[in-house]
Amino acid sequence: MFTFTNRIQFMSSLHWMMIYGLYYIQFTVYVIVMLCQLPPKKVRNTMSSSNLRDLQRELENKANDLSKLQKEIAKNHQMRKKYTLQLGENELVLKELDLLKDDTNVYKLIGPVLVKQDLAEANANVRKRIEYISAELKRLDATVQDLEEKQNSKKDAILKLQQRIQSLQAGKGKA
Amino acid sequence: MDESTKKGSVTSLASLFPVEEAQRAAKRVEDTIADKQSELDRLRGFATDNNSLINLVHKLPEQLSHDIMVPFGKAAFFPGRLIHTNEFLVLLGEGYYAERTSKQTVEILQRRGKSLDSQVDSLEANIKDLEAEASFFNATASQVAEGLVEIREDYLEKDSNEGEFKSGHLQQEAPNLGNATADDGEYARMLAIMDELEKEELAAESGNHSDQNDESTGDFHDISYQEHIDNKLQNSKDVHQSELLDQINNKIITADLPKKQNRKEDITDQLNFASLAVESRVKERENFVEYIDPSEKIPARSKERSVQATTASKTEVRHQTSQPSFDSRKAFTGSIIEHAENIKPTTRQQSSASSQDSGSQSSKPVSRFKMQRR
Repeated sequence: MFTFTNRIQFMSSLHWMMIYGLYYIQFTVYVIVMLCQLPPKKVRNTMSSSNLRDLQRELENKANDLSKLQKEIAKNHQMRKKYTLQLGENELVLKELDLLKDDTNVYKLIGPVLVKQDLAEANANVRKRIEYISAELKRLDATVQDLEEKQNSKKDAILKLQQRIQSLQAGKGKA
Repeated sequence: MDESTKKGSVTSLASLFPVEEAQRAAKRVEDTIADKQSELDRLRGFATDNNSLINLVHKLPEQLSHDIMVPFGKAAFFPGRLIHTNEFLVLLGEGYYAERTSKQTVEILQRRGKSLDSQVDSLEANIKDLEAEASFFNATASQVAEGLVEIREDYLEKDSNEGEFKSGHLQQEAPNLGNATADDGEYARMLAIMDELEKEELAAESGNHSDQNDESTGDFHDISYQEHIDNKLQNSKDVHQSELLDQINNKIITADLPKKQNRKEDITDQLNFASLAVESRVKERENFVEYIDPSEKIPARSKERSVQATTASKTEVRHQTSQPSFDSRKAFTGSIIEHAENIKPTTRQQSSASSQDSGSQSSKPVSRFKMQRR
């Protein structure tokens, strides 16, 4: 206070007062601008980068899930093909057995041994096997449909995530 | 005139169908044709083998017995005879066998031949469709390479009401009419070409649909024959056991019924050839486990027939030997006990199980087999 008073009294000209006042106002404005700009940028960068990393990690997880589903679908298709072939072969056997007469000697190969079996029993066994294979085919069809629906939903989710990541990257570029 | 020339548009066919893509499509279709052709050859081989088997089954019952060389193990043969030549043990599939006469066996084989022929016909039709598609793609590629273009002009009718230049308009109308006529002709040709392309595309689509059906049919053949090969491997084990028993009976035959055997008969030669084929196929199977040989199935049936014939001969011989006096029965029993020791080591060599398991397995199947025969 004393010093200021002395200076003012000492420099009693208007010129010096004007210079000092302008300098003070300019400095204050600069500081205000810095304070306004810095924290929002930092906060924005931190939030966008963490969001981006989370989304990319989620995208990788969903991509892995999708590949697992695709492998499972392929395996089910192979099993379905195998059962279809077995069904056809069993139907041929059943047709031949139907053509045989009742007094025919029918043998079943069990391991290295041919065991004599009744024609009716053989017929029933083959029919039972056909029913089992048909049921397995129906079950596999249902499973494949479920897996394909899951696959489609995963694909949609992945597309949405990719769009969000792209929009975030665009926003980051602007910032 | 310049404005009318500028209004016309020129569209190059290359922009619609690039040369490389058309050639790539043609190549892909040709690769598919090659695959179908190889599958067709395989099925034709099956049909040929089936026909030869039918002929063989026809010939066998003409005589009561045939002298043959019976395969023993992987490389050895010993002389034997087929008797009961009208009895066949036919593999129906899935491990089921049926005793059939010669005529009945021929009927079964003819039904199989019919199914094979129908598959061959469907494959041939499929190949024709694919060839048409390939020729279409090739034609498109050649047209694109030649630089075929489509030219279209919009027709503008000019006013003829101006009286000052009537003669000029009349002169202009003549070339306009000529241009219009040419333009209509070109347009009609382009429409015809587009219609033809659409028809060929529809035919190609129907061809693709038949592709999928035939592929599944082919795969059915592959896996079914793989299972048949597995059955044949099991049959070979059964053949080994029956051959061991047959060896015992053969020695008895040698002791009790010494006879010379004629090898001049044609059927004997055919059967020897079949046996040799079986042996070579067995070796091939060891070398190429995954390779599916269609002719393997037919020799396996001849093997089964020989097994059946030798089994029947064993039964008959056993009955004959059991009929004589009490002392010969003791001798027969003694010889069985003597060779039972030989059976077990061979069985152990064949099976991958432990010695105890193989011992128990060798005893149970043999006993069941004897009970079946009696």
